[in-house]
Amino acid sequence: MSAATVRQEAIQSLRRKLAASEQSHSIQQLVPSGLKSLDALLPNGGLPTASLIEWISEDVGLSAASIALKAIAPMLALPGCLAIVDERHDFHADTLRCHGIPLSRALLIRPAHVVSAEPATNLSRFVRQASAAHSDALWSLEQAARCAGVRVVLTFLEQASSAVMRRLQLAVERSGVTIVLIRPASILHQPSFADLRLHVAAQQPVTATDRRRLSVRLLRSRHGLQHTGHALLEVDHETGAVHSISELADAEPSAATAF
Amino acid sequence: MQSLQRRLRSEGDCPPSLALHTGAPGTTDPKTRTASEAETDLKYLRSVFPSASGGPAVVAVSREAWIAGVRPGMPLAEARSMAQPLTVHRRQVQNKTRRGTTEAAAKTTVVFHEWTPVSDRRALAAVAEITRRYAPVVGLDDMPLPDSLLLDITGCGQLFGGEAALAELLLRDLRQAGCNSRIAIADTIAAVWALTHTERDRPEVRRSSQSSQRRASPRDADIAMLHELPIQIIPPGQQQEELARLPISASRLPLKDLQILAHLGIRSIGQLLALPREDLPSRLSEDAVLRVRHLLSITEEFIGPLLESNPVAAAWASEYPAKTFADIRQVLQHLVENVADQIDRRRVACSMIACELTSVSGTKIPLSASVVKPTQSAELMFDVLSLRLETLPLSEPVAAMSMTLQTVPLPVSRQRDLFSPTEHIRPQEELATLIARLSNRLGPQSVSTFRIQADPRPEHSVTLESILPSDSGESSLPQSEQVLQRLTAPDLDALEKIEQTIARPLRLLAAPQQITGCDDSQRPPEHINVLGKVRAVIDFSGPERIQTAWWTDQPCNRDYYRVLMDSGSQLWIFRDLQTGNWYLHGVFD
Repeated sequence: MSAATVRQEAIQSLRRKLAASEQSHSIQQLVPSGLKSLDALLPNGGLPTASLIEWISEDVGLSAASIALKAIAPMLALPGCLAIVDERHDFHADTLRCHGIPLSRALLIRPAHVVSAEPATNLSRFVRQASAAHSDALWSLEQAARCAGVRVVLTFLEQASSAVMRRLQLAVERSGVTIVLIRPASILHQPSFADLRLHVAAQQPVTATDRRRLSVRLLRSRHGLQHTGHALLEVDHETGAVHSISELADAEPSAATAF
Repeated sequence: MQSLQRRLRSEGDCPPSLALHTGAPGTTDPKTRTASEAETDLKYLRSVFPSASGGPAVVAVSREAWIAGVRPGMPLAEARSMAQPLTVHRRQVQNKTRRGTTEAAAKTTVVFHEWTPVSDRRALAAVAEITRRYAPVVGLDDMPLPDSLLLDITGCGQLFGGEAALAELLLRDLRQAGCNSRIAIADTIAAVWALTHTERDRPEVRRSSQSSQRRASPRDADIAMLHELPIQIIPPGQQQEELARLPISASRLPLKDLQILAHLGIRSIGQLLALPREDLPSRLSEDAVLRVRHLLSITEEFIGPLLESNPVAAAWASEYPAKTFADIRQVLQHLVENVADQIDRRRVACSMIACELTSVSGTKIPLSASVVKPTQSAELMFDVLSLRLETLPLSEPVAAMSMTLQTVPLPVSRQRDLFSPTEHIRPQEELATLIARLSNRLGPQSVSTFRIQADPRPEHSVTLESILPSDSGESSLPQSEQVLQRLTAPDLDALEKIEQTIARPLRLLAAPQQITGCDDSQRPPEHINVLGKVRAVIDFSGPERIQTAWWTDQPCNRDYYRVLMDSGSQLWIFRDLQTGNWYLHGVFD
């Protein structure tokens, strides 16, 4: 046995012990998403509650948020509401029904909206207002994350400092709330504080069919082993429903380091 | 009349016969000179009794005075000549009022007393204090010569074991205070006013209660037991049916309009509501049309709250003003502790806090904060006020501060689940605190729930409902308990009831964004600029036509398409059928 293999085994063993140790002190529960291929990709076969989950969308309009909603819908079988922090004021709640979430369980939080920049003379005021609106959104997100009456918080978040992410991480560990962040691919180079970081992209080549095929990769898992492979999902054009495709993800542990 | 009778009776030697009359024209009670409401009352009374314009005239009589021949509208001199000296046999009175009773005859005289509108309003305000423990908002009706108290008991019934039990307790308290009253509970002010101002028809009430027992309603079970009391409870959905049988005089229409309707042979509210609504503005006054809209529940009506005579309040003033936010917060904390102590002693809970900050230059700055669930917690009250304070534009030091609380009966915590007593209660408490904090910091409109609306236009298919009322609105507290219950409690039935829907984009742009550079207006564009990146369209499906009638406020004539881009993204675009322009309306994110 080579030295590299021995070192790799030692690292894997330590990682398992660390994960087991963290899980024994955690208030997390695992809730299967109901999407078989996604559950097969996730470290313990489901999404953890009391966690921070990032969904990275390669481009706009790739249904990353729809997949996230479909995946978190089973969590609402537990008490608590779904809080949506909508900084951009464009969340359309009719979609919730497509993913099996009753509207009665959703709470919308919309901080003050900055409509548009006025003439260039008022640009600085516009920037100030936009900055204030973003601060309010982050404050709302943290408040919701600290509230035990909330089960899941969903938001679109582009930029956030490490300090903000760390505060969110601490908040969910304390309250048991799950935060779902929908983020653009531009943040991929930034360090992650998330328990899970998932990446959504279109399956190439894009073809004209009745159903869109999307690929989900697990980029980071805090408590589990890193998985290569991907989950294949498809979105029905007519109903907007997200389905799992029978092809299973490769469950072999990768050689790459997860931390 | 009732309070005056009580006072005279307590003086001992006074007979119960009583008649109220107006003063001579021009000799107004000094107390009414500045009171515009009282002047309106007097003006209205003179329009009802024209004889009161020329000199003192009788405006109200007790039952005994009526038997003696004194009538409202009679000139005072004529009434006096008829009534004095007067011998009214008690037996006559009793025979009129109570069958089979005989008592010894007794002599009685009619006492004439000058009527003052202010006294009436003051007496009603005093009665309102008795009713405050049953409702967070108590007000007078907005008619001239108000004679009714309006209580918003939304969500309060469960604190007393149901709306029927609440009504019974309220009736008991009013009777103990010497008030002979009628109580009605319904969904609108127009309905309760009409019911309480119409002589009750017992067989009708019984019939409506029997039919209502077949319907599922929380009020149904309470009705049968109330038919012996002057209490009427109208189950939700039966209001129009009950109103239809009432006389037109109970509709609160102005006198002139009532005369017009009488001339047309309209005798009941049912006949009035059956008239074509579009014809009413040409025949009736603006006020009358508004009253009809109230009766039909088209226009919502609010209760103008009466201020409490002894509210929970605290105040601070100092010659050394509070200059910084830290100073103001410290004063606020001091005041909050004070009022928290008061509500604890009174066994009530706070539903809204109203503060007034006075700057050194005398400028008054209002500061108010609400909570979702009534609370006694000083910590929460201080928290929401502090969050509101952060949004306040303060430019000067504060020299004085006052704080007044709107209070409601203390809510009772109830165990909902035998084996996990706190499982469902704790999330609700926590969520109530969160909503209060968010609403007070961001504004009440920023925190809302969703409601599906039957509107084909995508932007109107879901409406937002604020959980806390806005600052300017006079609406009462919403049914927060039910909202919190709905939000937090898992409802597996609701999950099953979700019907199959048509795909809609998760992000719907507030204003559709026009797509430029389309060569052929009949086919979707080949390229679309999405957030600064130009993408090629490789496929599309549609159209889905969404069209509304031309008379709607924002007519919609659109053909929607779902387009697939070369990046795999899916967008929702539409062609305006009137202009032929293409617009990006949503993103399937």
